[in-house]
Amino acid sequence: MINITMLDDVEDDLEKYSSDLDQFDEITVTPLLYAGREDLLKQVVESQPKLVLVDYQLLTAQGGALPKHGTSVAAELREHLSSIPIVLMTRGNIVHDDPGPRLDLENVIDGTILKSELTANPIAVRDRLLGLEDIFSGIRGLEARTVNSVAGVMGFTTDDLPTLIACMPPGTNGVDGWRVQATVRWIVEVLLKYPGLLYDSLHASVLLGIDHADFLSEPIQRYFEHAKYRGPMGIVLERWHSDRLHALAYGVLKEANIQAQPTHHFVTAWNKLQEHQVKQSVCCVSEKTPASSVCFVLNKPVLRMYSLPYHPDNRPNALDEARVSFTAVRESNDFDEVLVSPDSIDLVEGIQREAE
Amino acid sequence: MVFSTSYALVKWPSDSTIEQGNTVAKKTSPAAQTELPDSGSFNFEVDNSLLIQLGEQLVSKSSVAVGELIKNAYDADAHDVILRFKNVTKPGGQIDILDSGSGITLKKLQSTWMRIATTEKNDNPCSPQYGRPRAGAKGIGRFASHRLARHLVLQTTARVDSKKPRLGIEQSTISFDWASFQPGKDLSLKPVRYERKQMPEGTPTGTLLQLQGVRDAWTESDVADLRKDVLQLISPFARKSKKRRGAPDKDPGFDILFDFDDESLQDASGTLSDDFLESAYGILEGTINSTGEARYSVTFRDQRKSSASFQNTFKGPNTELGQFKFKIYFFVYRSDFFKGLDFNARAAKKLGQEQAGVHVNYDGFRVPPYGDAGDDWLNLDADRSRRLGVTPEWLKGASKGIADPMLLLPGTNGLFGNVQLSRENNPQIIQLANREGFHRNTEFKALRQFVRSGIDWLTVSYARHSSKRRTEARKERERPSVALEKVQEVIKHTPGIEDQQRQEALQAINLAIGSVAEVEADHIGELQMLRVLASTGTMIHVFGHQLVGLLEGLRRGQRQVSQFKTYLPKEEQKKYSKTLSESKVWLEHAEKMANLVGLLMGTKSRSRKRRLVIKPLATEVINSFSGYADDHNISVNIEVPSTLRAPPMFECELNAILVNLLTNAFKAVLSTVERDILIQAKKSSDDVIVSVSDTGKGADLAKAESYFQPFSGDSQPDPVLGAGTGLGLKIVRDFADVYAGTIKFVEPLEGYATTIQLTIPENRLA
Repeated sequence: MINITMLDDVEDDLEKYSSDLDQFDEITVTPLLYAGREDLLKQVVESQPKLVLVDYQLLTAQGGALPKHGTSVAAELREHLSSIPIVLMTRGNIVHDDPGPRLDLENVIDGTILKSELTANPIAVRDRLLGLEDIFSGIRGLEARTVNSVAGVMGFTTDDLPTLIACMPPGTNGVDGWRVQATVRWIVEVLLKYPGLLYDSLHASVLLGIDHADFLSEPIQRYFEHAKYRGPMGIVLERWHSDRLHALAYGVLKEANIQAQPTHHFVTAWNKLQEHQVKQSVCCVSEKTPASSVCFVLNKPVLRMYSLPYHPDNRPNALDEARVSFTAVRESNDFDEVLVSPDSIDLVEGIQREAE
Repeated sequence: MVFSTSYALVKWPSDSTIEQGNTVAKKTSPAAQTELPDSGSFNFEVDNSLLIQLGEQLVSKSSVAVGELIKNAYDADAHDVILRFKNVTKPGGQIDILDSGSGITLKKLQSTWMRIATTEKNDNPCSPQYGRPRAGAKGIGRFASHRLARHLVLQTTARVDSKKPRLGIEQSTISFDWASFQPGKDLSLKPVRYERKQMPEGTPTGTLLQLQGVRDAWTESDVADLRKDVLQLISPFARKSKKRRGAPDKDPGFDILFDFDDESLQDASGTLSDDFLESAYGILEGTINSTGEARYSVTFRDQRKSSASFQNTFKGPNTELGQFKFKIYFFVYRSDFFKGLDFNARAAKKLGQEQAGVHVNYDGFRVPPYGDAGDDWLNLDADRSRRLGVTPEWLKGASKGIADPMLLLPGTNGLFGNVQLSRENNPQIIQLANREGFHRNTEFKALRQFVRSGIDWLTVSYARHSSKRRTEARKERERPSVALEKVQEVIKHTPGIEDQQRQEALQAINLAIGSVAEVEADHIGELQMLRVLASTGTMIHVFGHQLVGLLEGLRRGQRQVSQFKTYLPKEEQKKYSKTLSESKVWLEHAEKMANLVGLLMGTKSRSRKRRLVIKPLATEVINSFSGYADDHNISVNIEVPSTLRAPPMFECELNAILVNLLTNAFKAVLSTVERDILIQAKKSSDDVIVSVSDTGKGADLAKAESYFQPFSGDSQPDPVLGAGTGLGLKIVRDFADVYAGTIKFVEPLEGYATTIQLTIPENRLA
């Protein structure tokens, strides 16, 4: 069971949202009203939380409390609670619409949850918070934060080390000496977020050239059980180790006596050996099979030849590049032409012009 | 302001009364040598012309020179300085500068004043008694004196040794006749005479500089420059009491008295702090008399004679409060409020940041920390930072008709004031043992509330006053058409113009008046529209925020009922299942409506112009209204190619166009049984065409243009879509205009009663 301290300036909200989480056996919530108590920070620290939830808008000025944004309070808390997660609670999309707090988030906040999300789906929020606490706890427990020790916690092998090192933020020589929060952020915001070392189910299915629903089917899941990520946050975030997926897929190919890439022939090999038949992944542009990439905008499989490199984020080069399908280029407003490579701009215009 | 230093004019000492000083050691000048030996040593020599050169180069203007001498007085821990200007509007006059500082001993004069480029100010960056950071530039004083006048008499009275009082007080007088420092001669060879005498104990210390034979004539502009230059030194209204770190004594503050006998400069006579305070926007005074009656009065600068007064009606803890009063000068640091004054808004604001505050005097002594820098005992800065803007209940009547007056609440840096209390009248107000403030008992809180309430009332009065000023200023701005009519009148009555030319000119102006009036009418209409839209925007933001909260409440309720349902017998559960599924539908409708707010108001939708795909946007807008459409049996169809893009525009603009056209269609079809709407879009040569057709009663094409005029709509009020602002089509037309497009009603599509068509050229650079 983990103790979560929740800070809000509205008593009703505090009661509502703390009870939303308190209903779970894994969590006990200590609600604290932000109302001009001078010793508030002390009280938060003394509550010995494993995770702190701070309301973004502490503006009601109850009891003479200075109106503040939760990010400012979080920054103060961070000085005392450097190695536990501090999560912002907010209503609507305030944080995303306001660039000010977003900047603060970089250094202070370890995540945000929407109050509406907590109300509508408390289980999902619980899982996210538990996952975050889990990863902090795992990293906090390391005697030394080195690349090797982090790799060990994450379940990576020595084969993954070169990629792992190449993914580290510029200017860092190793994980050694990083603060817990910085290490966690690196893991959550890079290793778990971008495909490369770890894959979510869609990327994993595309890697094997298999239909996404079929990848999630019980026989396939059972076969790839050993490729599943079991490190911190693994309980709430389904990921698969790419190298182990590959290795297990090659096992099937070998057994079926097929010498080829898993993406193109895993399904053939599997269907040859197993009663449980699966389909190949289908390209969202051409409907050809097997789709070997994922469209970042549509989140659908796409053939590499019907997609373009896309740069929606600052993912390390050592990980898989993002790609965008021609369909998204043609039909989606979520596609942003400024995020393609300069040498693809003419192609983008051509695709759009041709479609019209 | 009380000036404690005695002021006695010093006569120009004759040579006979000044003894030979000991400042010059006679020696043979190396310059006197006609030949140099083959080996030997040199000395640097300084020519008299250095005084002239440095004086002119370092001190460019007379006002700067006097400013430097005032700064020297400040650096000498003076609490005031008197400047007397005599006949200075022409060369040859005299300026006396007398300060109440610590003075300079003869020994120090020799080692510092008479020695050029000493390290004194570097070695001692703060004044010895009050720890003031030195204001004067290093070593400029003597050059400033040279720059200002032909003669200088320096008379200074100082303790011989401040650590040894028994050594007494001495007064030294030195005179300089700058003309005798002839260029080409060695500066060190010119003797300067001095006299020193012992003064009786109790003689005030200080320095008097008599600048005789002023070189430049002084003008009003010079005086204004001088006052501006030294403004930052003064401590208006209330004296500081804060002790600087390392300083032996608390700084009592500093003030400057100007005294001009020239008629043209006499307006500038008086203390600088009084003059500064006179530039306040308003003065608030408050009293509580012996019967406990509380009164405030405020006088604004532009209506000095008609002060307003108000009797405070708030009841409460002030009943125990004895007689006392306060006076607060209120500054608004806006450049237009400082026009015609010696100080500009920036200088005043800087002074405000350093010196402002509402101080408290108790039996004539200042009580720290009230009014010190960083102190906010009246909670002004805290309330300003929150920008709550809530008008106190008791001021609701006084603030009637003014929007959010409390948003104008001044901060501490805008108030210079003093509360005067006495122990006799307020025995319940008790100072803390360390003299740093009062016990926060009921009486002190009542006092604070009284002063703060006065400032609240001042704020409301200021809001009303400034609103009146704005109205008057608006009235003063003449409309262009009226100005043209005046020109017309002038031309009519100006002699010497031939009749034909006069008629032509009048006719041309007539035409101009016509077109200007048309533009003015348009502008008035647009202004009205903008006001309405601006208010609507704010309202929608609030609405959106509240809606999110409501949605949360709905979701929570639904979840709780779902949980509750599981505890019921199966038969009972069925009843709740129906309610739950209905509430789920309502929730979905509400979520869609909330999404609509985001379509128009989200920051992303206003961030960049892009070539947007029309179909997903149109689909999203339709989905937002799907609840409304379902409830009213309205069928909305869309025929838009999935790849068709609009020309580059903001997403919120395209959404606004679609929302306006769609809601008009919704309203139109309500009057008919057949309720179909069709949104189409296509590309035609270089244009993108979006049309909306409906099966309503049909628009009258003959008067269709009038539908685009603001506030001309004739749609029926709708319980959900509202009565209509009369702006929808006007807004769409404005967007079309921006992108060089058109919007018009066209022959309706077959099967429909009305079709409105928006055409936007694709290749126009927006």
